[in-house]
Amino acid sequence: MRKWPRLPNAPIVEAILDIRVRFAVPVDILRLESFQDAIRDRYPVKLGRMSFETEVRVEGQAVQQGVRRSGPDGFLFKDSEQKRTVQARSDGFTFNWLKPYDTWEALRDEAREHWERYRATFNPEAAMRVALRYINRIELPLPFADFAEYVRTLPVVAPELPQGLRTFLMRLEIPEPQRGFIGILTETIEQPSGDGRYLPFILDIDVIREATFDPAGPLIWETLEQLRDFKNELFFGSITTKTKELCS
Amino acid sequence: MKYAVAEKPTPLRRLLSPESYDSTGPDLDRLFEKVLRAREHYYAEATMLRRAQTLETVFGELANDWIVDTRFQSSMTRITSHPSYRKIISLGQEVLPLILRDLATSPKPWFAALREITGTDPVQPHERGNVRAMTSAWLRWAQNNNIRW
Repeated sequence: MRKWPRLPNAPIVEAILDIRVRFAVPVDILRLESFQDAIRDRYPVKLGRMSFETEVRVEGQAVQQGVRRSGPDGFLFKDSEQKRTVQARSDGFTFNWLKPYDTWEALRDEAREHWERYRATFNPEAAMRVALRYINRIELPLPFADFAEYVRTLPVVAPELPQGLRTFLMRLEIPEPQRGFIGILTETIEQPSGDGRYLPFILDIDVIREATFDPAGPLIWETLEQLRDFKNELFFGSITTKTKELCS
Repeated sequence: MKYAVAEKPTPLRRLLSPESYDSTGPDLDRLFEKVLRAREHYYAEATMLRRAQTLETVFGELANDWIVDTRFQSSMTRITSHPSYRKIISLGQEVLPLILRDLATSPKPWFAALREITGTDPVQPHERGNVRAMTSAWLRWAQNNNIRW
């Protein structure tokens, strides 16, 4: 594995390790609730999780938004500060770590501990997808002349057009065919913060491997190590030295 | 490419809501689906930040519809059977912190929703009808059950 620089002021606002599974027999939702028993001292907060989707309906020229619920699909177990969450769902397992981030090793080791318990308790037939997602929020000091001072992967506006962007959302799917990975890079800006002194730039990196994994085998974790490398390639490749300095 | 300072910045939610037109041919339909996919990914279910953002947005819109539509209504049955109120209940336990936050800020008839979602009622018989006491009872219950708002 490559060595990556550690940014003392890392802009990570949420790190996610996600494993989707397939069951031979659907797991009982009430059994998922019992997952908390062994971790209650560290994760005392329990919330039932509804699978919900926001839906957009088009009726003539009107666009209506609503919410559709398809039923309970698992539980969220949160620590008392609500910075870390273990999700035990009927379609898989997720470990979320909100700001402040520690290290990859800390995230991986704790996620692995919970995953081993999930696997041993519910006995999934296979893991179908493993993913890491890092949401970074970088406060760019305003004013600046060009986004390119801070970001290297950007939408391009033809030079003869006005170069000011009020907002943007860019989503790129970047395959890595050698390892069979897909990187989804989402960039956007939020409304200025700090009395207009900073422009929050969101750099959201989701790296995914879809394959059939033995839930008890080492391949899941070897793949996650490689995905972390790919995530770092996308992150460090997309920011400039000036941005690294902001995070140092 | 630079940042164009805007008097009224476009909220991201607006950017992620696809435009619709009367004559939607297959290309426009596909484009529409792509914007929806981008939106779904941005607000992916596994992420806590985005999920919370989605919940908050959906809750805010539904609560606003409910308040506007029932502001001159005196029948509690009608107030609590309003479709937006029912939709908020259907969001389940995850919406509890948002209801509690709203209740703590400006008491509203959230008690039926809280009872339905939690399956419990911490309000004592002598407190019924006293909105301030009922609010305190629910906020105490939430604290005792590690639910923050």
